Amino acid sequence: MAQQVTEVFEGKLTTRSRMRKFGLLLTGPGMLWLLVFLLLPTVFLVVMAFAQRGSYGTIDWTFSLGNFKKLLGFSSFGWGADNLIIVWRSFKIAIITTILCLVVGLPMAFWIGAHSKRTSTLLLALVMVPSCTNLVIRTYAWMILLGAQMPPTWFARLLGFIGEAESLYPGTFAVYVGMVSCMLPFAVLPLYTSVERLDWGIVEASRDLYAGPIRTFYHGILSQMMPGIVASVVLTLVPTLGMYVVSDLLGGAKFILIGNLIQQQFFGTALDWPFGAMLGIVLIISSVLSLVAFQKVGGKNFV
Amino acid sequence: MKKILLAALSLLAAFAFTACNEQKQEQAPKTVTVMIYSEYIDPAMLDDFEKKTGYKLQLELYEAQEEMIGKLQAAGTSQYDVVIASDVVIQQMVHLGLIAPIDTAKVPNRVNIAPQFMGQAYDPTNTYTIPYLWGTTGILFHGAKVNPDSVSYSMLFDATKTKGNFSLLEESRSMLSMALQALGFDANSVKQEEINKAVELILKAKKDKNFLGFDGSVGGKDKVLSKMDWAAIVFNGEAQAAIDEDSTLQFVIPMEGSFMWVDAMTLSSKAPNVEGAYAFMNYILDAKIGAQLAKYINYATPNKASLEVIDDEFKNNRVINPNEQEIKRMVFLADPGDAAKLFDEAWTIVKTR
Repeated sequence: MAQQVTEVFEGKLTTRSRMRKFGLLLTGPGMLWLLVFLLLPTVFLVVMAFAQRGSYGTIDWTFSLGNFKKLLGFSSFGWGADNLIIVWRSFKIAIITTILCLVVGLPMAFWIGAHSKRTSTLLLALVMVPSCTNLVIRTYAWMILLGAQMPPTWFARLLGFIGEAESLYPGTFAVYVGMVSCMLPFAVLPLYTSVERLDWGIVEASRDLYAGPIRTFYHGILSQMMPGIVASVVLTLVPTLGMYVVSDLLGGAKFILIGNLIQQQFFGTALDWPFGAMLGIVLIISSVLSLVAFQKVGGKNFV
Repeated sequence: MKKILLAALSLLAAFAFTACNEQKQEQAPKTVTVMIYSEYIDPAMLDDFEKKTGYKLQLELYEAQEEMIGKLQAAGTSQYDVVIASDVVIQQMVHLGLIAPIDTAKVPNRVNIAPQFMGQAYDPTNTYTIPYLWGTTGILFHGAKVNPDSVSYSMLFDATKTKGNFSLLEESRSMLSMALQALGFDANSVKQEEINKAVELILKAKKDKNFLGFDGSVGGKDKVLSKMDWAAIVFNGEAQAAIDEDSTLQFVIPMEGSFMWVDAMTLSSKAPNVEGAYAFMNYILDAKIGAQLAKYINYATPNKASLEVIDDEFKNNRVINPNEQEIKRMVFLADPGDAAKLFDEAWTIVKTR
């Protein structure tokens, strides 16, 4: 008994071990949740990734590195860079979408933040409202809007962006319009939160010290907003990496992304669950890595 | 403390028991659950079926064969009684144990099935399938009417002959088999070098500036109707729907051939209501119901008794009911077995480069 350290918690005397037990009780449900819905499925995914496709989509549980080789591009048709191209293309679209969301989202967040509390709540709600409609339906709406007989296409033709017979849909432009409109709410929300918390005193101080507008923005505003920017990048980049509905519908399904490739393994003609698992792991690892890299770079530049 | 625990336990047991009971009661008004393509049955048949057989008809919809098999594997076959499946996946479903043999004695109307659906590669012993509807695949296009027996795949695959935007079929096996036929190979070829040539043919078409993308049959039809596409590969049912709206459109089976397909009723391997499943199969095979279904969906019926009660206009429509010459150049797609892997890898290349 003597070695028990007495602590004060919530105004009561208690011991460390008792506090530890209490803490475990409180965090237990959360940890159980993570164990059941995150850790176990991930372990299962890793195990499956090293199994093989049996005939007719069954799973042959003998250890093999076949999926890894397949991932690197070795198929029945010899070596091809196809899988690497697919991963690269997915990243390209995800990164461009994220940048576009930031470029559109930042001014929007400031604009919303500039209004009174009541108006800004309303404006924020308006940003979120489209998310209440199903993604596929919104994408179909874009298909119609960007079609050949619609004003956006006339306008683009008038300005010479596209040829006389072409239309905005299907095409790269339509894909990005769809992607950005889908992800924008997720980008704006964290940005708005950090705009709201901005300490304008720092901006004033920077002005007083004769910093130009660019330096003031960089050191006075952007550095303060970094947590919000990181959060908004995370919330846009990660989901966009795995997304494929929008690019399929608005891009004419000419090219596939990693999301398509995974879907094809599980529900498509391939019925190759082990290879799908391998691709899933690639997606998880690459999004985690890109986030870590981004946080490192972002953190260094703005302190 | 013990008393409380005991009380809690008995309460829990009581709950569990009533929950079980409730579940049983819910199943009491017998339903027949049919897994089926969306918009693939006349809605009027839901009430009619209940009136005639006493079973409630419940539809579970899917959009693609692959999705249907994925659902059966993930959710289990005990959720469904009848599964409507395409000919190409029947052997796979048998192999995976998703469907069970049909007790043919329980489906007396089976005598109505036309002979060309018996003993085909998708079900050589006729034990797993009862045909539901069947159809063909061809090219739907705008422009002056041409002799339907003179149209070649080159109108899509030869960049000098494409007269406007076109879409290809977003279905790996089907599209590759058509490309194989365009090259003069067997649609059911599993030879790697031939599939490789088919891949190259599609990749060449992808580079055509008129190529708009890959689309399902419905999407292709919509694009042709809205004049976004000049031509698209569609199933005959969609082609007929388009021609009904715009009579200047034409649908042809290319002279190099294409594939016909049949969607069949199969019995889920753990069907909770087997008797109901047979009742549904028998109901669909009824002469009048078969005719009503074919006319509503605009697909051909495999029911020879239905053909006798159907009107001549529908029967003589070449889009729905191809003539003998056209049937001769079409094949059913056989189960590729382990070559499915080849088709998948080929398709990944098609969709990447």
